[in-house]
Amino acid sequence: MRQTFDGEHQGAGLSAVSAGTDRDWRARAPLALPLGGLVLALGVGWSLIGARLFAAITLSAVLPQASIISILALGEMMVLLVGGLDLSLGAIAILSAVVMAQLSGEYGMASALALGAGISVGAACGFLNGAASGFLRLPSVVVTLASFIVFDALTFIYPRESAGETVSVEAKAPLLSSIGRTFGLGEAVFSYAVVVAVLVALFLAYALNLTAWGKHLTAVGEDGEAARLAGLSPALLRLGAFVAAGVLAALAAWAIVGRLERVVTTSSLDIMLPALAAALVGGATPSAGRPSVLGVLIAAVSVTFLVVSLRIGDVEPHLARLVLAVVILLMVVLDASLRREWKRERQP
Amino acid sequence: MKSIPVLSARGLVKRYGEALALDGADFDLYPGEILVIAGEAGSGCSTLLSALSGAVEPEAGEIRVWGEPARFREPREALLAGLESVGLRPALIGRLSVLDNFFLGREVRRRDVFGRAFRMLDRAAMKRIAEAMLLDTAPDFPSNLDQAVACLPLFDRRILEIARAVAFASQAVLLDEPTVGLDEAQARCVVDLILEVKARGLAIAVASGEAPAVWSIADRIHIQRRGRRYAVVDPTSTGPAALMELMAGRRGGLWAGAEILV
Repeated sequence: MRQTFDGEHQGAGLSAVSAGTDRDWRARAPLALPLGGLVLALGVGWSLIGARLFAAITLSAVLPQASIISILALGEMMVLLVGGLDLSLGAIAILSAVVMAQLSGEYGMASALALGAGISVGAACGFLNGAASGFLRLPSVVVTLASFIVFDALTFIYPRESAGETVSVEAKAPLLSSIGRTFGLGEAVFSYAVVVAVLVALFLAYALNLTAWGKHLTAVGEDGEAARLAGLSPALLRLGAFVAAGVLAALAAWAIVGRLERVVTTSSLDIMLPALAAALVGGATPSAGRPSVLGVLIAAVSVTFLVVSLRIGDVEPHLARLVLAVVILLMVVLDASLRREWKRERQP
Repeated sequence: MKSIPVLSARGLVKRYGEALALDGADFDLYPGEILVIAGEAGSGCSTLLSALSGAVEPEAGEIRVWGEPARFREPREALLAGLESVGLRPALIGRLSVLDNFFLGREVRRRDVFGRAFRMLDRAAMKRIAEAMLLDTAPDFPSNLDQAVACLPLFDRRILEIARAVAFASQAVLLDEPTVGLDEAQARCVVDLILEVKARGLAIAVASGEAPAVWSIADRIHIQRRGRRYAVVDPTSTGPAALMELMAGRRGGLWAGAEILV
C-alpha cells in the first residue's frame, strides 16, 4: 500500500471486510431511539404532573408547540444530513416571524406578501450560513453560532418599538393567522399548524428518498470527498441544505405568528434547543444510518411533551433548558462514538 | 506513431507542500489501448491519474482530450469529458445502496409528469440499466442491488466502482492500482474486466506498481519516475525484471533488449 503526499493512507476506506450499517443498531432500528425517548419523556412528565399529562389542556398546548418544533427539527435534519450543525435556526425563525408580524401589523402589508417576505428572510439567512460553511469551508458550528447572535440581535433592532420584547400581529392579517386556526376532528381539536408540519414531513420524506437530491445530500454528509470524486459538488449541496433549513425555519415562524398572534423576541433559544434535541434523537446525523423523517417527528413530539410538562410542573425555565442541553450533549457523544466505531471498522 | 491520443498531458506539475509529486510529467493514451503506468512508491503515478481525472488540479502543464486543450478543476469536468476513473480513494457511499452508488450523480428520472414536475427517480429503469451493465460486466456480482455498499466486501466494492466507470465512460477509463488488496483469483477477475473494457474499444490506463498480472496485458508500459515519465516501453520485449530496473532508474543491463518507445 502506498502513501499519498497528504499523509492519508490510501485505500484505507475500502479495506474493511464487512462493515458499517448492517451491524449498527441505530441503522437497523432507526425508530428505537425516538420511541425510547417518547417513553422516557412521558415517564418524566407523568412523575411531574401525573394524570394532568393527558388532560385536554396539556394536549392542546403540546400539539401546536410540537408542530413548530417539528418543522424546525426537520430543518435541522437537513443540515445534520450534510454533516453540519445549525445553531441559528431558532433565531432565523424568530427573525422572520418578526418580519412577518411587523410588515403586516406595522406597515399594513398584505399578509401573503408578508408571509413571502418572511420566507425570503429565512432563505437569505440560510444562504449566508450555507455560503460560509459550504464555499468558505468554515465549520458550521462556528458560523451558525456567530449568525445566531447576529440574527438574534437583529430581532431586537428591527422592531420600531424596540423597548418592548413582543411584536404583535394585526388580527386583520388573514393568511398569517390562518395557520393558528383550529378545526375539530371528532373529539379532538387540531390547528392548521399540525397540517403544515405533516405536509412538510411528507414533502421531505419524498425528497430525501425518491429524488436524486436526497441521495446527493446523504452522500455529501457521509463522505464529501467521495461525493466530489463521483462528480457531485459538495459546496452547492451543503448550501442547498442550509437554504432549505432557513425556509423551514420561516415556516416554523409562520406557525409561531399564527399561534400567538405576537412574537416574543427573547424566545429563540426556547425553540432552538428542543428542535436540536429532537433532530439529534430522531437520528438525523450521518452516523445514524438513513435519515428518518418519522423518527424526527416522534422525537419532536417527545421533546415537546417533556418541555410542556416541565413548564406545567413549575420547573425553573433554566432547569428545563439544562435538561435539554444534557439530552443534546448525550446525543452528540453517542454520535461521536458511533462515528469512531464506523471509522475503525473501515480501517484495515 | 499512431493517431491522435484520446488523452494526453505535457509538463504537469503538482506540489503537496514541500514534496514535488509531479515534476513536468507527460502522458499519452491512444485509442483502444491498455496503457500500464508503472513506478515505484512516490514516483507520482497516483498524482498523475488524479490530475488527469480532475481529482487534483495541476499547477502547470496542459491536458488535451483528442488534441483539444482541456482543463479539469473538478472531477465532474473530467466525467463530462467522458473520462471515468477509479482512484485509490473509494468514491462510494456506504449508507447508499449498490443501485444508488452505481448512478450517483447520474440518476435517471421518470419521464412522466412525476419525473418532470417532481423530479421522481425511475427506479425500475435504473435497475434495468444497472442489471444489464453491472451483471453483464461482472457476472459474479451479488445481484441484490438494494444492499447497502457498506455491507459489501472489498472485492465487490472494487468491481462495483470499475463497472460503474466502464458503464459511463465514453472515451477512456483510468484505474489506480485496481488489484491492490485483492488475492490472486480476485486480481485475475479485475484483469479480465480490463480486457473486457479494451474489447469494447475504450482506451484504458492502469497504474500498477507491483502487479505483473496487470503488466502482462499492457499494450504499452509508461514508466513513471520522480514525478516524470521516465520511459515508455513495449511489454513484449521487456520482462518484469527489466521493468523493475527501469522503475529504479537504471537504464542499463537488463533493459538493454527493451524497445524504448519514448
